[in-house]
Amino acid sequence: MLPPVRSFALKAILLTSILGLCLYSDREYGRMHSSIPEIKEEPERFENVSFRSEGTARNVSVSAATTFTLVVMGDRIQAFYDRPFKLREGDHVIVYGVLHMTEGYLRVTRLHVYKNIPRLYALSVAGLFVVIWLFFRDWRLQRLEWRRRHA
Amino acid sequence: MPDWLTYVLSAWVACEAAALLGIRGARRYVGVAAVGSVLPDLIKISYVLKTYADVDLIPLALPLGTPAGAILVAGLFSSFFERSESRSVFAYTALGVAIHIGWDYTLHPYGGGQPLLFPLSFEQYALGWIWSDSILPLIIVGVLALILFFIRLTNPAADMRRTRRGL
Repeated sequence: MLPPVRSFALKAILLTSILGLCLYSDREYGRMHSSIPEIKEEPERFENVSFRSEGTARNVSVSAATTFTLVVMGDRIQAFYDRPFKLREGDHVIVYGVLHMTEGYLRVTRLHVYKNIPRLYALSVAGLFVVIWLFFRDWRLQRLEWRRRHA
Repeated sequence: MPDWLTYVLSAWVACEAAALLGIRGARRYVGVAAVGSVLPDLIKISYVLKTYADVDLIPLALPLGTPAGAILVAGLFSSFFERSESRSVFAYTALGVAIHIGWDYTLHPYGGGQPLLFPLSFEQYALGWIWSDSILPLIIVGVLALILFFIRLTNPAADMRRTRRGL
């Protein structure tokens, strides 16, 4: 059993540690990963650099080659795949390729379409309800502390 | 990531298996194990913010989806429980976190994979066995759940024969 002062100290230590990790990540992450706006800002730096991301395919055009705009959390990059591919407007895709940013596009080397994203979301919503039910079946909040319902 | 139903069902399977193996009280912590199994997805809040509000907190939120960060969050979560329960709650929440990270590790890397060694390294790891939207993880864990449920139905006292100390 932890006395109240130790319990408060433990919470403070854990919270500080989590915030410390978050701040460390915020500072260091950008050195290893670049966002699409950062890539567009310095096209020479990202010439012939490998790229992997997931997003939605927009402005899809399929003929002898496949071109589309990859939209990743609101950011856009032009993509080119040198073969015809069964891609539809709004498809959720994972893309592997090489950046040619001086010419303003991503050359796709591998492409996969997620076909069951609506099912993934539907099952996740179902899972959320199950979590809520399982947790609140056993625990109730009393004076800022979770206690067993049937102790 | 697989769907949340897979994570939650996996947490139930782990607790049910632990109970059948004689670990005392395992079933009583299914709820916290289930919460633990979705805890690393707190990072997804930053994806939603980036997509719909153009607020980029992804680098800041990244640790929440890593083993080290998620275990710390599990510790903080368990510190809000009554004192006599907090250690067991932490153990089962951490079990849920491990289940989540284990499943994510098997996937084709959504977001580049799991930074398993963070904060020592930002290197991302993934086995690339299953696509995120595949139903396969749910089928695998669903079959296991059915087997355990059947064992429990046919032999309700199975977990009472041998009782080991709880987690």
